[in-house]
Amino acid sequence: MSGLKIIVLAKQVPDTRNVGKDAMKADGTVNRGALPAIFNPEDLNALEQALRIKDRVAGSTVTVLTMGPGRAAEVIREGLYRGADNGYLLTDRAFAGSDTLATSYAISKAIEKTGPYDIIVAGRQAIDGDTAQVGPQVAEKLSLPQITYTEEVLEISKKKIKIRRRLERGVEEVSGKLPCVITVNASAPECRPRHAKQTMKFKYAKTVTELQAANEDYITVFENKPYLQIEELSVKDVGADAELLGLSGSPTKVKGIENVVLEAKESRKVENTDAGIEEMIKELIENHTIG
Amino acid sequence: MADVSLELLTKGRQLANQLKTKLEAVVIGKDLKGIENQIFPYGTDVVYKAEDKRLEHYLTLPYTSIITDLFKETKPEIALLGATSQGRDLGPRVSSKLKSGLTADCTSLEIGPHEDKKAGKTYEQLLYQIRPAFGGNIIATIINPEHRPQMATVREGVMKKEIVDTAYKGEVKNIDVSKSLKDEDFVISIVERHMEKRNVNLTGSQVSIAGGYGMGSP
Repeated sequence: MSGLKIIVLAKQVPDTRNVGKDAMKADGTVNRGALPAIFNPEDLNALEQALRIKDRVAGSTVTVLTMGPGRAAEVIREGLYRGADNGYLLTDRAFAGSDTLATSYAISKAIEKTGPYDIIVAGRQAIDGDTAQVGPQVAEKLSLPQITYTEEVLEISKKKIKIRRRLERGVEEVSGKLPCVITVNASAPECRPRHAKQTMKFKYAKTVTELQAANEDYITVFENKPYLQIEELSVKDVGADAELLGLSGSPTKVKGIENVVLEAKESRKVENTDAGIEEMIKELIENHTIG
Repeated sequence: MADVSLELLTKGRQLANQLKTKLEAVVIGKDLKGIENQIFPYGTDVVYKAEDKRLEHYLTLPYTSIITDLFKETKPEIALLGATSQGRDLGPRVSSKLKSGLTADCTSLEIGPHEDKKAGKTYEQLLYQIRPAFGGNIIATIINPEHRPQMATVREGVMKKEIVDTAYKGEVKNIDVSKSLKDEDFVISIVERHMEKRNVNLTGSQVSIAGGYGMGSP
């Protein structure tokens, strides 16, 4: 039996979980330069599920697809180091300003372009937007069924899949057929670390743009070792309609941004002495917060 | 009825009053007899009921088919969903099918004007969909000028639920599900479900007290 072609959707995100002192400016705006760019955490859970399917079904391949600026090739390299077979970077200025709908349109066009597939695996949501929309919207654009909040793939074959999914108050086991889109929860197993051999093999995996910038002779490099090329896809390459991308393709617009300045406004410090605590309790009883 | 649905009905009623329009609700499931009586008191003018034994538990595709067909027919200005695991599965699917925008996890919803200087257009009454973004470090106001419905999800406990009038009477409209549902909508099936009971209902309590490890014994 031939294997499954698995596509993992991954996103490079600013690490909003570790917003330190330098990351926020005094006026509350985000200092993007101070935030490290990371592999979106739930997309790593998704990659792990994809690699487990590959382990289980002989002859399967894992392709990492990401959309973003040139530096997002990092995400693909990280995927390759951990066991993916190849990757595509969907990159074009025309994508800038895309909301979830325009993004999922672009990704669905790229998926159609890169050939036949059996299953698309994505993280539930990205930590910079927390919308959880792109997975289901890609599924809709490709007219595929979706299974969200995946925790474990229980059974999989060329035609069928059975999954355990985590809901807010319980678990559900569902079965369906391939091809389909699954999105993976943070409660699913963590991603395996880098594999030494894979890391050595793909250490110099680059996009053409990256090699051009480094003044390397990419033609010879890719002729000798074609697996080192991370293919870049533009709007034209995937045959997308530019009107449906970027700001013009996004039904939602950002009207305004308010910066959150975190400061202690209505907090009070209570002295850690019996007298201080007694004072506080008295006050809480008096204003009927307790008692 | 989930609390978040009642909270959204209350918010929906306020928005409908501001826009001088009707508040409508849709319920999908099996055995929905009399369910409207739980919904009308929140000021609901119309309750659509989609009843079928195959719809007992939430399934993405059949629920999407019913909602998108209903929205195409009734053309709502605004559509609100609970940001539950179901709502966050259904919302994007519906918005993608209708090519409308969707804002996830709003913490505030308001009506307000908007001027698009570039296009030279003004909008009188748009839904301001206000939500934290960037890991909660900024608050963004999202609008949806050209596409309808303006869709938003809201988490449980963010809005307040409030009965408008226990005698409020609306109209029930039954949806003919056979027109929307296709066999291929049921390609995913539920094999088993284990639901856990909620032990502590934090959203329902007036005061919550949190303590850390350093608190010691009382």
